[in-house]
Order: sequence, then C-alpha cells, then structure tokens
Amino acid sequence: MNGPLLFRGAVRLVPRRWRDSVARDLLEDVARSNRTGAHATAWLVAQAVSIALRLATRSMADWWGDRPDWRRAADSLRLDLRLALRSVAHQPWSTAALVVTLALGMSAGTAVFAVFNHVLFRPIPGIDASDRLATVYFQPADRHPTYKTAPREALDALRSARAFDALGASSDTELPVVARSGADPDFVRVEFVTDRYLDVLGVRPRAGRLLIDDDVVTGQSVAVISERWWRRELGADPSAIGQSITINRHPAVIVGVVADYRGWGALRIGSIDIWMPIDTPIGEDAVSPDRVFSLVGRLRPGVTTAIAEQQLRVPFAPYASSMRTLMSMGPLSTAPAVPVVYPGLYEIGEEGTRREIGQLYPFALGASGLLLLLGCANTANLLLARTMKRRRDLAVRSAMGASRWRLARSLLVEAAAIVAIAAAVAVGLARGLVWFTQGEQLFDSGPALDSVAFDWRVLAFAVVLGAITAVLFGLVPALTASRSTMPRALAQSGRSTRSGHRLRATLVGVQLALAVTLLAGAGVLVRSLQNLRGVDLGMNPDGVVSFGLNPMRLGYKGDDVDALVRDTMDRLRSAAGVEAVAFASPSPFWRGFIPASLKAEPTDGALEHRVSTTVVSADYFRTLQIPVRAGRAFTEAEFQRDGPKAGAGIVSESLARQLFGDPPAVGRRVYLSQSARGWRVDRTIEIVGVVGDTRSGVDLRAPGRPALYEPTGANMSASVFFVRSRIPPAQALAAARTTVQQIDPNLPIADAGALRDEIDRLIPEERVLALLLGGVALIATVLGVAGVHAVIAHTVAERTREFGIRLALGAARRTVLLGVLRGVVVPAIGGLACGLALFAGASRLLASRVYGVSPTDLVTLASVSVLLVVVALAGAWLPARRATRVDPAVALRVE
Amino acid sequence: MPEASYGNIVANMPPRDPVRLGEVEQLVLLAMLRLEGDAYAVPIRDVIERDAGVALARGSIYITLDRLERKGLVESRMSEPTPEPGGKARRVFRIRPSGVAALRSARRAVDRLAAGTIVGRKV
Repeated sequence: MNGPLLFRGAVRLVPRRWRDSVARDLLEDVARSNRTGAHATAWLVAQAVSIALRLATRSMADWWGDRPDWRRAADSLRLDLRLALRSVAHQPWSTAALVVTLALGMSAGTAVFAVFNHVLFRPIPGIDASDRLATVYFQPADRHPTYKTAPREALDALRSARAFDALGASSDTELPVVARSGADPDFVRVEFVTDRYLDVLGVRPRAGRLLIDDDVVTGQSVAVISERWWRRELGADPSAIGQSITINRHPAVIVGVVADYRGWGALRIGSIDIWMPIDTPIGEDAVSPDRVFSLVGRLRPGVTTAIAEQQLRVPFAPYASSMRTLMSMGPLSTAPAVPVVYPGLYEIGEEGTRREIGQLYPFALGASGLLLLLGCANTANLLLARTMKRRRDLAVRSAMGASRWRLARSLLVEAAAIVAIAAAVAVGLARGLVWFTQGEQLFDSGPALDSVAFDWRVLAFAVVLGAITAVLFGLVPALTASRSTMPRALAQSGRSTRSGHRLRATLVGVQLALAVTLLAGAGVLVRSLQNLRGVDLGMNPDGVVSFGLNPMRLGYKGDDVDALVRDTMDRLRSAAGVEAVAFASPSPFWRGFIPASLKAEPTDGALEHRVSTTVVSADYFRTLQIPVRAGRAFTEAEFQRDGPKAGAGIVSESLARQLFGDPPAVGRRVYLSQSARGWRVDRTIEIVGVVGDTRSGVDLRAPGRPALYEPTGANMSASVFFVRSRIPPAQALAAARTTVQQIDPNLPIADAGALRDEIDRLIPEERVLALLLGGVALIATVLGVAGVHAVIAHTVAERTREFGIRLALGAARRTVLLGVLRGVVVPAIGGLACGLALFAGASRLLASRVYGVSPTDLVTLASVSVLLVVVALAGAWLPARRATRVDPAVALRVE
Repeated sequence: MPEASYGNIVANMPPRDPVRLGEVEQLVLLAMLRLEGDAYAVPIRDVIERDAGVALARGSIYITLDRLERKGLVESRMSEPTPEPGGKARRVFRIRPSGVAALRSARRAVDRLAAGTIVGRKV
C-alpha cells in the first residue's frame, strides 16, 4: 500500500534521497496510531509537507555552511556595497558630477537606440503572430523593378498555393471623409480590401465587429475604422457603430473599430484609418478593383518564404506578362515577373527606405558610442581623483591583508552603484531627447516619429550599456588604486604621484580626441547642410507658398477640373499682397516623375532622351523666378486642358544643349512619346522658349534634371499651386484656404506650406544627422571642458603647498599660471592629433553624406581644433588662477 | 585603525575539535546504540521519546542522520523494498566506530567539566 493519492503527492516534495523512507516511516506511524480515513490522510499530508520544508531549509543552510568561501564572498560583497553607498552619500557633489557625466554619455546612445528600435524592430501593434505574415511582390529575374500591383484575378490563382493559410489583398488611397454631418472634409487614408484580408492580418475589434467575408464579397458599403481615428474624430463614442460617415461623397456605415492596428509596417507612410470592401461604389471610384496593390499572406506554420515563392510561381505564370502594363513608371524590364515573398509586412521599393535607415543607424549609434566613451573617460578621471583622495584608506586596508583584487572589487562595486544611478537618469534623459524628435521624419519617405516606446529592449540596452560603462570607467581607477602600497601612499598622501598625473592627462587627451572627432563630424555635416540649403535651386523659393488640391477625388472630371484650376488662380491673383500665382503638374518636388522619351526632329537617327515633363501655367516661371534664357514663357491662352496636339513647349537649358547642342533651340521641334498608367501619347512639340535649369525632385545634390514644360494636359493628381506674395507665408496660406473654400467648401487643401520648408523637408536625413551629431558634439565638448576643468582643479589642489612655496620664494604669478596651463596644452595637443587622425579614418563614412564640402575640410577641422583648444584652456583658466592666488602662509599650513 | 587583520585573528585561533556533537546528534547516536544493528527514523524517534523523554520532530531526525553520515559517524544503505508492487525501500543506518568514539569523547568532555560541580558524578 502506498497511501492515499494526496499523500503521495505531498511526499514528492521531500528530496529524493529521503522520499521513500519518509513515505514508509509515515505510513508505519499512521498504522500504529488510531487515525483512520480522512483524518489519517490529513495527518500524513501535514507531516510530509512539514518534513519536506524542514529538510529543504536545513539542507540549504547546511549547503551554505559547507561553503565558507561563498559565504565570505557574499559578506564581503555586502560590505563593499555598504562602503560604496557610504562613499556615494558622503560625497554628494562628486557623485552628482559623476552621475550627470555618465548619464549624459549614456542618454544619447539610449535615445538613438530607442528611436531606431521603434522604427526597425517594433512589432506592428494590433496584429497577431506577425512573424507568420508575408508580403508578396512581383519582380523580374533581375529583381528590378519591384511590382506591387497585380491583376485581381491573379489573387484567386495564387490562393491555390498551399504555403499560405490565407491570402488577401488591398489598395489604399487618401479620400475626403466627413466624420459627422456638417463637419469639414478631411483627407483620410482608406484601405479597400478583398475578402480575408483582415483575417490574414489578424487584427482584432475594439468595438463592434470587423469586416466579414460576406460584406466584402457582396460589396456592402460598410467600413471599419481605426481606434486612433475613432478617438480623435468621434471621441471614442460607442454609438459611432452604426453611424454613417461620408467617404468621397458616398455614405458608408461604420460597423466596428479595429484595435491598435494603424496600417502596414513601421516604414509605411501615413496610417490607415478606414477599411472597407473593394467592390463598392466608393472603391470603384477611388481605386481600380481589377488590380490590387498590396498582397499579404499568412504562412502556414513552419513554411518558409522560399517554399511559398516556389509554390506561387506556377499559378502566377499566366499573369506574368500582364504585369508590364500595370507598371506605371520607371524603367521597364523585359524579363517576365515572378512572385517574391518577403517576410513581415514591410513596404519595399520606396526608394530603398530600409537601405537608407540601415545606413543611418550605425552612424548614429557610432556617434553616441563615441560620446559614451568620452563620458567613460571623463568619469574615470573624476573617479580617479576621488580614489586618489582615498589612497591612504586603501593603503591601510591593503596593509591589513586585503588583496589587490579585494580592493579593486570594492572600487568596482562603487562604480557599479554610480552607474546604476546614472543609468536610471540616462533613461529619463533619453526620454527627453526622444521627445524632441517627436514629429520629425527620420528619412524622407518615412513616417514621422510619434510615440516612440521605451520597451524592454531599450531598458536592456541601457543596462548593458551601463555594465560596459562600469567596467570601462571603474577598472582604470580600481587597478591604479590597488597598486598603491602602504609606505608609498603614506609618504605621498596629499601629493600627486607622477604616474597618477600622467594617467589623468592621458584621459584628458582621450576625451579631447573624442570630442574633436565628434565636433569635426558635426562641423562637416552642418556645413554640408548649409550648402544644401543654400544650393542654387535655379529658382527663388522665398516668399512662395504652395498647396495642392485633389478635386478628382471629389468627383470633378474633365472641364470641371480645368474650370476649378482657373477659378482658383484668378481669385488668388486678386487677393491682397499676392504678386503671382502659378500651377504645376506634377509638382517639381514630387518624388516620382512621368517619364517621357524625346527626340529632336528630324527624328531619323536622333538620340532618344529621357526627360521629365511638367505641365505649367503661364506665370510659372515668373512666380518661381526661373529665368527665361531665350524665347518666351507661355501665354494665358496656351494654358488649356485640351490644347492642340502640336503644342508649344519650353525646355530647360541643359535639355536644349542635349537636344540641339549650341544652335538656338527656339523654333525647333521635338517628338515626344510618353506612356503612363496604360495610356500612351505621341506628339510633336515646338520649342518656344528656353529657361534656366532647376534642381527639383528628390535629390537636391543632383544637378537639375532635363525638363520639358508644356502648357496642356494637366494631371491633377500630383499638382501644386504656387503663390508668390509680399505677405507672411501663414497669411498667404490662410488667404489660399479661404479662396478655395469660397469655390467649393468640400474641397480640402493639402500639403500646404512655405516652399522653403517644403525644400527643407527634402533633406530630412541631413537635418536629422546634423541635429543629432551637433547635439552629441555639444555634449561632448561640455564634457571635455568639464574634464579639463576637473583635472586642473585637482592638480592645483594637490600642489597648493608647492605653489605656496614657489610664490613665497619669489616666483612670478605668471610663471606659475603658465606652468599649470602647460599641463593642459600637452594632452590637448596630443588629443587633437589623435582625434583628427581618428576623424580622418572615419570620414570615409561621411563622404556619401556631405554636399559641397570635403569630409576632411581643412577650414572646418582647423576651426574645431582652435575652438577646442580655446575651450580647454578656458576650462583650465579658473583653477589655474586659483593657483596663483595661493597665500604662501595658508599653503604651508595645509595638512 | 584596527590593530590586527582578519587573517591574523583567524591564524591565532586554537585548532577546532575535529568532530563535535550537538545535543540532538548525541541523542540520535545513543538511540542507535540502544537499537543495535540497523536503525531507521521511526524506532530512533520512539526510543528517544520513550527512554529520554524528548519528543523530536520527525524532520529533524532525517536531518541529523544526514549530518552524522556526512561527518562519517554513521553509514547508510537501502533496505529491501516492501514486497508489493511499487514497494518502497528504506534508508537504514548503522553506527560506525568513529561514531562511538565521538560519542565517548563528547561524554568525557561533559564529565570533565561537570566533575566537582553539583551536577558532577560522585567519585
């Protein structure tokens, strides 16, 4: 008999060595007693548990007692901690200086990590098991270009692939949405989805329900909205479910709210706020339901993307050839497209955003790493000074038999305690730094940074950083101090040792070296930014505001659009303070372009030129102050929607040279062939004027691209109005807004802003980098100066007696002062040399990021060197002067 | 400033008695002597309770036996399992000569100290 079940369970708590014996003994005992039934069971269980507990606690105590070395280690660690905390508390100012220095050093790294962690590694909120999601793209064998759009029928064919649990697709666009009747329309990103799409993503409802396949298949005008939009526009009102909203002038009923999810991956531009079925009147108006834009699948567990790719290949084959015609722009490949499966929900192909951010990341992390090193060097220095004061104490402990390791360890524990405090402060500081980046775009096509989360990764990063720091800055003083021996320490107490001094001078040199590296980098980047800002755009953006209209989304068609554009321009022209108004389509600052191929007539044997074409109104060149080099600008009469087939054209200088060489271009004819979005136009254009080149588009570094301007065939989808005025931009924009509202109160204006800001937005990486490195360099300089100051102050304090004697013997104050300053100059020069060498090595990294300035620009390097020497001397000046003020009588009484 | 280091203090301490017995250890060893041959927790506890009038917790018997074995004063082996399916073996102990010696020296130490006092044995 093995006893009741409960007892057998309880006995399992007893260590194995005794388990069976205890069970047998207890059963024997209970058999002898008069306990029976439940009573006996209860007694058995209680006894078993009590024995188990007793054995466990005792065996732990025995184990501990058997290991005196462990116990002693724990005791001495406790002692170290107590000493460390006492030392921290007894020197509050020195501790504060250490904490601030370290926290500054660590905060930049933590902030940088937090931001990049947010962008690169953050899981997409509101999505289930996002590791099983995959995005399907289509690429020719040479992997260029990447097609995102696919024919709708292809989706059904692809669903035969068994690698996926489900496949869904969507197309998204911005549409004017009226949230409540009477409210102003606002552009909202709406994603039109096929059946299963939301299931694939695995989003959850916060309120109401999600779209069900039935809604989607039968094309109901129902919508689910994002939680963000629900809170912002509808005040998180539960009664919003069932309410009707107006999307692009059509009614749709809200059936639910999606929890947390805000659209695609972190790199997606703009978040999606409304999801609705694609086969609805709204969807048919806004996107073409016969094509889908985003194809997302949920992989079966254990299936790799390679397998999925393989399985998609066969069902996709019939559609491979039709991909060419779906492609709207960019160079066309002749190779047939094949499906490519990427893990996760990442948008690719957008001018290589991941590549860009991948370049930015090590750069930013490197800069903050240098700052941390600098912080460590500075802290090591401060701690060294602090340790020197305690040398006597350490020597006594050493004489009493404390080993070198024992002493070093107690100093390391103190360092660790300080780092722990500093790490906590650093996380707070990093939060502050990140707050500053709120709303900044990290790279030009990326999303603005908002709600950067400090998740466990960031905290882990800070802790690891702290551990590295503790070892780096705690080790040097610990090793140095532990070398002191009793006689030396007692003999030298209160005076400097040559080796200690040399070490601190070296640390100052290291700090200055790191500071000069960062300053030089920041200097070069700031100059590059200035160059980019000051680059000759070929136009004058100052005093110009721009805004866009999207009348087609409100159902404007054909002549209505034309009339609207004219009406808007006429009214704007008559507004107060307005000098000129122009229209361009597409905007010269649009990222994409409509490619066209151009041949000079006669076309036989003429070279084909790829150009971008822009439709502009008559006053375009006057408004942007683009000089007309030859011929004339367009006339008001030429700016028409359906002009004659053989229209007038104006070319940029560089294009004129490419096409015709030196002879005048005005009066010549060119043959244009253009295809976009399925249409194709061939026409002959007569050149009526030549204008200056402008830099435009994405890259301000690139020279102006060859441009052809035409007065006809405006495409409103990427159009922009320019208004040059004498009034401040804000007023000009307000005037524009009122004007548009007078024409159509439903028509929102988009992307409104001063043109100067618009251009600044084209160089966000440069701005972010210059800002980041500038900030880091500033902190580095402050830390460097603080380091110099601390070392000199310490030296002066140590040598007070010496100075007193020298002054008493008649030394000139000047000589003493210069002597002290010389202590800075030597490490400063050494540090500068090393720093510049370091920078020269690192400048290769900068080469691709700077514009109009060499990464090893002599003027910048010279000025930062001079700046650093000056501030280093300034940091040394105050304590050095103190040395000359020493009263010999007082100095000799010291000690 | 302290006069001596920890190391010095330890070095100057008299050497420790290699085997010292606690009160419970003495009780358990004595009970095992009385039981003769193989002994295990239940009878040991019974003997101590009956003959010495001391009721020990069951758990402390096991702990003490463990400790005595580690000190090399007793030795243990597993008994035959009970003759039934899933029958359990039991750890049984036997006192070693060193155990007897330790018990003797502990007794003598107590006697020496007690001699001539009111608790000492009459000589």
